[in-house]
Amino acid sequence: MMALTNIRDTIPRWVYVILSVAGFVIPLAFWQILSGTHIFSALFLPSPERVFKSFGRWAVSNLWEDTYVSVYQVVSGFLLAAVVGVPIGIYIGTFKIVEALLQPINDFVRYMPASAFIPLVLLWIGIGESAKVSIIFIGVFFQIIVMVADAVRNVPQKYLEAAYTMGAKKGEILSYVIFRGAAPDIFNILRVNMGWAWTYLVIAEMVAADRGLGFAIMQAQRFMDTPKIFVGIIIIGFLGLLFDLSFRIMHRIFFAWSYK
Amino acid sequence: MISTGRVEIKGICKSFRIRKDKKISTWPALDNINLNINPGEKVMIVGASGCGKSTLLRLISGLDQPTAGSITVDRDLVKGPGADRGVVFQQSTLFPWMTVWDNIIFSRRLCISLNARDEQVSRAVYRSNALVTLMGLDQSVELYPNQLSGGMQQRANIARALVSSPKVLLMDEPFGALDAQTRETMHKVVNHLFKVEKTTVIFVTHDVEEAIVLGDRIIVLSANPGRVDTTFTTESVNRDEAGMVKRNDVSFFEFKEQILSRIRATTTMRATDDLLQKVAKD
Ligand SMILES: Nc1ncnc2c1ncn2[C@@H]1O[C@H](COP(=O)(O)OP(=O)(O)OP(=O)(O)O)[C@@H](O)[C@H]1O
Ligand SMILES: [Mg+2]
Repeated sequence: MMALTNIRDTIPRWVYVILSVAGFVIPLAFWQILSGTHIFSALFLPSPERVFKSFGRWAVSNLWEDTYVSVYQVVSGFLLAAVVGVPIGIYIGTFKIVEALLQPINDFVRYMPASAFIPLVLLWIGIGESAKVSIIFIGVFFQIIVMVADAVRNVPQKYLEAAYTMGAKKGEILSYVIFRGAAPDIFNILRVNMGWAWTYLVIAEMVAADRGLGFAIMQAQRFMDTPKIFVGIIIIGFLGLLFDLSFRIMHRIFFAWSYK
Repeated sequence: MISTGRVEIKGICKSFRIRKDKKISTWPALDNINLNINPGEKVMIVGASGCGKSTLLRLISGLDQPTAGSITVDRDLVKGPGADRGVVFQQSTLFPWMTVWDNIIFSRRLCISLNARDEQVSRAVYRSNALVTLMGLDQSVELYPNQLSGGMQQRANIARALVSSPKVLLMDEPFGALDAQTRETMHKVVNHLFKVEKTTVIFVTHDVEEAIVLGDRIIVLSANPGRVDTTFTTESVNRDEAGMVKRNDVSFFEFKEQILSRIRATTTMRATDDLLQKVAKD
């Protein structure tokens, strides 16, 4: 009997792959069976087949445009938040005076739900692209800041001390030690926040958009087009997975040193 | 040539603030330490655990500030850490995100500006290469620190600390985490190194044999608070033709016993029968 249940132990690659596929196939089969029994009306639970057909119909109309719009919004909102948030987080985690100035207010704003800002954003910016980008930005910006600040604080003091004894100055400590040391964690933080950005995109598109996947889902609900709602949700999940996977692969390439 | 690396430690005291029973009190770790260390001298500091060896080394490195007293290196007052004093810690401090080579050349790279002359760069590379070979790391320069064994990591740490030709090399139990065999190999390497590098060395260890093998002078610190208890020189120990201490010689054992008895006398930790029985009862 092969030991597959050892704590933190690795398992053979093929076992891993089979289990991951099964993780998808089992719910799918369950869904197929459940919809076949007609316990629920097709309006509430369409069969996988109908959902797939709906996907085909959407694909030949404007699925790609909707997807493109959504991806574009997510990436812009996320990048904007990352480009501004990461440096702020690094400075908060490194300099106490920046921490004192920015961390309390950041924590305060962070606990305000981003969706509660939607009315305000609509009031200030109106419906459209910039409204969506703003909502995504608000959703992840403050989170990125706290998480990056923590990652930076976690760089062991011994590396900073070693650098000082080799004559490093403040700026050099910041770029060669603190930033380099925290980079793998910062990258992971960005991956997690990319996932949240998708959540905020859909929320934003449901109320503040005239295009995009979230908007399409809302429209489908209005016309009782349940299969299309399913397609929309699945596509968003799929895109999220794709982004997550590419972040993980890049992490392995950029930060090979952090793996044993 | 004027020899450099004279370290003068004058009246050094260091106390820590500690909280005990909700009161903050100061606790003296080092009390009035005076030491004059000559250029190129290899000074070993031994003493019971917790007597303040690491504290003293951190003060010389400039990572901590003394409560009183002053430390000078070639008349320059130590105000903070600097490249003139290389440090090797017990735990490796190689940056995991850089290859061994990038780690070793780190301090040189800091000094060399973007528009440095080629000759400056090649001199830094030349010395780094020499140290890499001396430390037996030729095959490992492209590896990352987590791919090295403990002994290799410490050799890389030593090379890194030496690459900028510091006046003083400070070592805090650099081989404390290594097994006995590796440690003995390291002693050979370091002995060789100490002969070619004229840098002053202040070396903290709890291993008395290590201190005898590597040092010119051995200083025993007493504990609570840390004071200079006794100073020994290793002149009286017999050596072989290569100048290495003879480990199997009677003089070696006698000398070791002398030092150990001083350490024992200054240890505050006691394993008396009385205490042991108390522990056993519970
Ligand atoms: N940051 C600190 N705050 C409070 N007390 C400290 C601090 N650093 C060291 N001490 C105290 O100072 C004393 C000396 O510590 P130090 O680490 O220098 O001992 P050491 O001789 O290096 O011991 P060892 O051989 O176990 O490494 C100890 O009693 C320790 O508790
Ligand atoms: Mg110590």
